[in-house]
Amino acid sequence: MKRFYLIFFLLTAAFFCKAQGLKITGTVKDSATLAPLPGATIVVDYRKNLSTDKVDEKGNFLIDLPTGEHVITIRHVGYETVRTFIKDGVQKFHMDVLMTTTSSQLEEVIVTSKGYDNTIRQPILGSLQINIKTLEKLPSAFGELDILRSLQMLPGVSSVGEASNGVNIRGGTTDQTLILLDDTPIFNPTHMFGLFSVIPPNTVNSLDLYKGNVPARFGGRVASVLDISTKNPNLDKFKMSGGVSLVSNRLLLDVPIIKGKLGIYVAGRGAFNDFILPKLDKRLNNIRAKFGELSTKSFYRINDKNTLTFMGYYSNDFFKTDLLTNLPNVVGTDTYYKHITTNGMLRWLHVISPKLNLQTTAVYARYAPEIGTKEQATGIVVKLPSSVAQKQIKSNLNYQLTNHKIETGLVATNYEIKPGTLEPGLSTSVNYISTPTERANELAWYLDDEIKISPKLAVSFGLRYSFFMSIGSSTIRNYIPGQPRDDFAVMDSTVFRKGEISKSYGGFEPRLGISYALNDQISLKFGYNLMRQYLQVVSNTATPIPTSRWKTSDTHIKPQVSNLFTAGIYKAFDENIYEVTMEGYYRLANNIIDYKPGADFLLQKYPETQLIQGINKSYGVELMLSKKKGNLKGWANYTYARSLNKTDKGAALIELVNRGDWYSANYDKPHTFNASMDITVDRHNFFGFTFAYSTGRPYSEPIGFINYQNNVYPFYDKRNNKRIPDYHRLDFAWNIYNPSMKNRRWQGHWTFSVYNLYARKNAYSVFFKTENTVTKSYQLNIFATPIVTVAYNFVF
Amino acid sequence: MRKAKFKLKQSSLNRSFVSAKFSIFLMMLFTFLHGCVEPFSVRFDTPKEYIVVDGVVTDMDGPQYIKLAKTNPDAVNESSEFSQTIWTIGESTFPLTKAKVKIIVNSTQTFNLAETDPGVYQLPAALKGKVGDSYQLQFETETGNSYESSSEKMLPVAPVKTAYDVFNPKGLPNYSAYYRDFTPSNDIYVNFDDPAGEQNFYRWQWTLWETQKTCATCNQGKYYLFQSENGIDGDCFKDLTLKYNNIYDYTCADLCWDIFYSSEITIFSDIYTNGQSQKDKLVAQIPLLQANPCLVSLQQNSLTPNAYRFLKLIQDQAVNSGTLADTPPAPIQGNVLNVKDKNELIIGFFTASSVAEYKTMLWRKNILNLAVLNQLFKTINNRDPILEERSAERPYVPLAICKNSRSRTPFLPKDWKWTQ
Repeated sequence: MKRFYLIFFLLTAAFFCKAQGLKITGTVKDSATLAPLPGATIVVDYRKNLSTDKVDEKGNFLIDLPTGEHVITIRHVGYETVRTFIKDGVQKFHMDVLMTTTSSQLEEVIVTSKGYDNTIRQPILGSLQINIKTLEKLPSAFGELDILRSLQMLPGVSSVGEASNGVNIRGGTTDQTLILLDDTPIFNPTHMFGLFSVIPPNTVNSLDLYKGNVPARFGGRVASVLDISTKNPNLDKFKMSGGVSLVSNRLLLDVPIIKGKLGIYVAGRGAFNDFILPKLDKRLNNIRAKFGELSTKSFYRINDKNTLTFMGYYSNDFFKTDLLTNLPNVVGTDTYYKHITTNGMLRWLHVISPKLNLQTTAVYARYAPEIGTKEQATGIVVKLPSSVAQKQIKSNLNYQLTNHKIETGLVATNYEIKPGTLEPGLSTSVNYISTPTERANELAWYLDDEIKISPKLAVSFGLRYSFFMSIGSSTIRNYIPGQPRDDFAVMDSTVFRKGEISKSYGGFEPRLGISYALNDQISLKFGYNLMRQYLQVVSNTATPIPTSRWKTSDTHIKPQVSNLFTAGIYKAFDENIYEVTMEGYYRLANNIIDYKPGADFLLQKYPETQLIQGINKSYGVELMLSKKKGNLKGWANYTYARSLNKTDKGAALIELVNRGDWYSANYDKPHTFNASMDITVDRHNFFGFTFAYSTGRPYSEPIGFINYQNNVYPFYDKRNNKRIPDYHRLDFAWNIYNPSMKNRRWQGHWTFSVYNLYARKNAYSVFFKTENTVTKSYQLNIFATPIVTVAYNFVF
Repeated sequence: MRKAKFKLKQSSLNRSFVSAKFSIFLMMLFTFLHGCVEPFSVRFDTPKEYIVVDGVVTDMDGPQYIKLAKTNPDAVNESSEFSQTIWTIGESTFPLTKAKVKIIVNSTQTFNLAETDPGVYQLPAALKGKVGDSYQLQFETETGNSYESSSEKMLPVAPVKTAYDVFNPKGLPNYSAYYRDFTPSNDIYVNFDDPAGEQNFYRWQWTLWETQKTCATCNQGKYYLFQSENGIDGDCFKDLTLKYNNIYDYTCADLCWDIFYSSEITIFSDIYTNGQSQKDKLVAQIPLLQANPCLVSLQQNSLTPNAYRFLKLIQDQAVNSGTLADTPPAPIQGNVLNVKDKNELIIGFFTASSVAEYKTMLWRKNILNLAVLNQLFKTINNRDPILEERSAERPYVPLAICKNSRSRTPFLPKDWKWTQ
């Protein structure tokens, strides 16, 4: 007997089902665009334990209930809540719900712990679902909505500085966070060396940040997962949206090809405004700086049981100037950098039964940076291309039971890294130099199970087993044990044939989340994660640069393994208008990577000679208060967090950082306070304020000067022994939606924003420069004055 | 040999590559993005004594020295309020005196060094470097701590094939106060053949001899000649009848040359260009201290891989530009260790270099600043000499003696020419 019947991952309660029942069917769509809203939550009778998470991709849902009086509430992040009353005795009920967005209605949820109603109930900690519409209203620099920048307003998310290449989550390095764009990994998340993030905001549907419990379906990074899913194409109606700002121009075209069956959209963003640069400053005369992205997604409903989704993403950065130094040993005139990301994803969803479906995904991702210098004498361009590519195929099975929600799957991944080749072209003064290609395979199996033991107690249990193989062809050096691992300590080397496994690692990765509700309003949660990472960035800079090298684990570089313990208390009050959460965490990561003093990774055939491994301990407490509804919405959070590293005692003393003592990570900023406020004036005008404060990040200060070889040099004793001044900043934004106030199809939206309103001269860095026997100390400020921008966006 | 002026970047001389590239770009970009560089106040002191070693054994003729020093734990370093310059209150280092210093050649022969000046230890005349030999420094301090360096093998160096100079009106930023922002320079470019089949590391240094007309400066005093053990000598004697800020300069009695040494670290590795002929490599910038012809010795040195790494670290840290694309500075461990406590940080390096010397007169016919003819004193001190005038009590003002030292010589430098 069918106790209940839900199309996808619906969760219901067994005790609820009786022989005589009510069948509710319906659809949930956006009122304006008629796009299905698969993320909507349906709550029955205000009872949180009687809710479903998922509505299918077409917006359909189906619920079986016992007959009786029922109140059905439908919620979706960023949309007005809809309620319906069903009378006693009704046996079949159909509802087509058109949800209105908060851009036209004023009810809004800002940032919510995953699943809105689930904060209290779900056995998952430290996961946040972020509403892109909220981020749109927050102040942004240059009028460019920047997802990575906005994320830093949330507790536990920070960065090394205002223009750094990625985010640091709960004490993890940038490469310890897995950034997924529709299941494809993003290796370099920023344009223009950290100024803008590469994710085109107008295609984003939802953002899930897992910084505590990470479901077992994710693996490969030890700190956190940022799972970005893009919008699905509209299958019914042509749509267009776009915008113009000082930096870039954007356009999205959404075209249904076969109504209700096949749709595609193409979105582009381009920054080609570099012709302005010389007008601002003569020194920028010969600069060419461009970046752009192109993304597309198509969705094909083959039949009721099968769908196909394709996502393609391409991003390109190009920068050229004569101000830069050249490739090493090339006497040249100008040098360029470019980096290209090419990602693709194809997914087949097969519905086996209403409770069971199979999803198979093929993923391709490639990131390829290149440096080139034009030779002075000959005009020949000497190039240094490199790349990292990942191919992946995975299949997962979702199975819905009474008190279980099970997901299990298999993943096979292939990595191919080309660490760089110096291509002299026709130049005779430079040699062709190539570094060996790194290849590796990773296999993983996982199982996630969410079990509801009682109305008060829920457990999420995950287990992943990953097995990593570094494969040939390769030549692996053997070093004399106990000596510094350098070119002089080589004993011999072992040659591995193509496809031969040179080293393998593997192990289980248990994940556990427990939630216990003290009552309807307060719950306690506990979480534990073990994660393994086989692919990382090796770099000797404060934040990885676009050409930083990626490295898989091998005989000498052991995989990173982290253990994370999390505990939290959650309280909602005033009918969920307010929410207070407190989470604490402690994370210990083994085999983290740091560079030896003087490390150089460029064209380095044996990067293990430049690296040292160690441990990282990160811990912190995050306190967050949010107000989710009303004309004034927003949140404030305070975080105390530390992140400390220690290099292995096993290595030679000379190679240890700070002599093997604990030292602060570059992004170790103990105190952080962020606040964000969104004020609704009327249907058209919204004000937004954000405030950020944090302790200054660590830097290394010399402890004295020495006379050496006819010059005076500062000398250093410890890495990261001082801190730059504290950081704080206030931003303001005024959003005007539909200023014509007419309900036309073309809806304009102006954003006027001021970044750094009170012109705080925040130190970006502190540095020391020695010139002609004199050392001077400087502070570099960026964005030191209020930056005023106007941007225009439209939807058609 | 002369060539058309190259549009070459100063930075290509002594910057580390990729990260520096990014950081210069970032600097530019951030400056444009309403950014600015401001003075930053610091105050720091050296928590303890660190030993500083500066020593290179070469195969050049002439006396060679090893310098030992220790940092001053009482020194305080503070940035000045008006400029970003960090001043050291007190001496930053003291000479390390009375050490027993020796050099071991090929692990067999031992040579003891003699302390000629405080902290300066001279190699015995019998010890001249030879390509292929290995050298190790050992010393014991007065307090009984023993230190030793790694063994450094002297590697051969390719000779300079050709060299030429190009006048660069904006050669050296902030070098001399006289020129303010940019001091013109004669940039020296070399061509040489890098030997194939082996890894080579290079360092270039230069020595410059300029004729000097003014040999002594007395503050609140006058110059007197007197008889000493070694013949006639001369020196300033305090004269309290003069104002405290009174200065008198004295013309040289005879020909005199001031000697200048390079202070920049100019290094090169053939890792990407092994075996290739190197052309038009900028290796030295000789400041235009006066327009007169001068003698330049360009030394092309071989470096051991470790010495190259060490110098590169020092160089990278000195040119930090403050962006996140820089490698953050860090303690640099040299190759000298305390025998009993390998954890002790010893600053500096001991190594061996073979030197290919290229000596040439720079006739400076390509320069554009003829105003600085015979103006060595002025470009160094940013003022004209103030000569003591004859007076009733001193009808005869003495000429000053050109005293032989590391930075001055009365002896005609070898290879000096008066005419082209």
